[in-house]
Amino acid sequence: MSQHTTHSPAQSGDLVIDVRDARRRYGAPASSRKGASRGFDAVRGVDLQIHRGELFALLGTNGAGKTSLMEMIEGIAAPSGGSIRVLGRDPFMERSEVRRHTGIMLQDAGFPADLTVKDMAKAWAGTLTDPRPVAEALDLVDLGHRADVAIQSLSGGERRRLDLALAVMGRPSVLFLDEPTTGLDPESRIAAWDLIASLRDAGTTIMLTTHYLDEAARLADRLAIMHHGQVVVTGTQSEIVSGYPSRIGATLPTDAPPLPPELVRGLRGDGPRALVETGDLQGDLTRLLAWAQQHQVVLGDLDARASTLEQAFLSIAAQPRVDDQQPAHDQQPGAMAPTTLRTAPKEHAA
Amino acid sequence: MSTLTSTTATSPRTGSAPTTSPSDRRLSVRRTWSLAAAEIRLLLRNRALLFYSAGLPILGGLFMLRVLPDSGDTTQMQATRLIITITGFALLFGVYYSLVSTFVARRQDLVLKRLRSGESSVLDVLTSISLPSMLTMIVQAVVAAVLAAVLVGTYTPVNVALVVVAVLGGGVVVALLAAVSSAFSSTVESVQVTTLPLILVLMAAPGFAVPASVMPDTFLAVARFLPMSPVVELIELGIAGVDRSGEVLDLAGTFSAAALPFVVLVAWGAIGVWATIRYFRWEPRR
Repeated sequence: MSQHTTHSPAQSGDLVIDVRDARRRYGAPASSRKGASRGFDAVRGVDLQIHRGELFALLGTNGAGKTSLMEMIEGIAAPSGGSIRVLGRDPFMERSEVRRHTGIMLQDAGFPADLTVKDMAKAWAGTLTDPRPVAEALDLVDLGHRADVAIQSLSGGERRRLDLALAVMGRPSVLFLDEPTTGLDPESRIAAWDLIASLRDAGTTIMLTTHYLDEAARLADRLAIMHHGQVVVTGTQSEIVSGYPSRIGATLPTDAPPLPPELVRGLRGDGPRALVETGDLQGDLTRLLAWAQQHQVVLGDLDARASTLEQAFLSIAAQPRVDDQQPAHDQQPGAMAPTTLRTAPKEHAA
Repeated sequence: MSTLTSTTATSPRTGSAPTTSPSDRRLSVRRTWSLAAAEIRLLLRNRALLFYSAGLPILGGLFMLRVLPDSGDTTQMQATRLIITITGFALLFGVYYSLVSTFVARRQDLVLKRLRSGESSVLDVLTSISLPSMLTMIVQAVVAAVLAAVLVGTYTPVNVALVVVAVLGGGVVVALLAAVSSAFSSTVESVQVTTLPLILVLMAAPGFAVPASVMPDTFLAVARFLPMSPVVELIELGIAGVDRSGEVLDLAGTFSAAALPFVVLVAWGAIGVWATIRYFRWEPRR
């Protein structure tokens, strides 16, 4: 029951979560006559492999399909296509075998308001195969002193911490956290991060979704960014970031001489504001400064920044929906947003 | 269950995702009891629901005893009336109405969703939520039997087994109907309205709220198949040993007369299971 303590550190090849071409459709099936227009594909062919002991963060815009995907991996919903394996089993069809090894913190789940924290924790512990003692679980999230308080009197952050306590109560070897720190104050957030990191260090495989890029950057061994039901990019933070160029921006006088050819290659946008995307920030910035010096050009609002996770994320978020199933007229003209800073990200950089 | 299994196995391909899998339908006594204990606490902390479940039926029974004119029935028959009234109202308010409210409240508060994220199976969850209401109802049936002896006079039940089947079977059928009804209410407040149709159907059982003697024959022939009717008939057979035509039967006679109401009860149970799997909702509509 407590193999989790004897897990060896992350070994590649020790696959814990294996998602192949997973799809989830709400409403009418695509094959039905009305299906194509009535249904909605929330997850559109996702592949993910997560290894033992890994902390994997799933990022995405609102409505990207993160929760829809998580629910399938958690075994809460059946996929409408593709295959999902957790610990080598189908989490939906073999629910009872998989669930005793998993802990799930849903994005929104409720409590009966009239129960106390301890009542709830005890009731939950009684449903688990190998629960931690109630006091230990509450102490993990610093709720021990609130044990006898009715849940309706808890703050939002305290309820979220109780969510987390219940998710880790069964000593799971695989832990799913759907936006675990939403609504927490900064101090509780850091405490939650420490707990999550210590569980990972103890060998727990963790998959989390988050809107906070700093959370993902701080915790995750690897991450994926989802957009419109598909995983656009997977890899370590540096692998993902390296797929996106650094940027130099400056406003040039109208009578400025032509830029050096190395910079012109990365030039995006017209007008007085020059935006240069570059894979060699230091070199190109040096070239730009030397050029400005040589031609006595004043660079207005000079701005140079290395590519960041945030930039990669925003860049992906700005991509229009690529829809292979719906007729073209469904696409709104206004949705063809990005005019600057677009490069094709490396697909599946890992 | 074999049909359920095959539906589950094929539906991922057709796109309408099932909500449960075969490995999700095992009952664990330990898990169920742990959740039921919390549910019992919640019931004890909800005074209004507690009154509906545990107070109203007994009051209703006593009221009936005071108001109904002395019809010249035997002691056995009067005791039967009292037991049917209290058990029937316990099923109506203690089980049906209170369970519909509880299922809706747990769903809208996202408690059902949470329970689905743990190890508990669908059967564990549905059973644990139903258990406090069922226990309350069973206790009231026992209280009714004792009250009848005290207030009406001592009586000897003809066939206790039939009474047990009526109370437990009736409880299961009504709990299943409550689970189905909960799917048609989106707020706890609307339960007051959405439960009315079935409350009327349950009350239409001949011999429960209205004596069978004042009902037309054509209605009686059909009304025997209503969900609460077998409960009334089985208690009448079990306590007084009297069948629908008013004939007094011996023990063997009560068993054979119980066949039809028993089949009707089982049929409603089967319909309830099917409809619960088909309609019960674990999350609020998005």
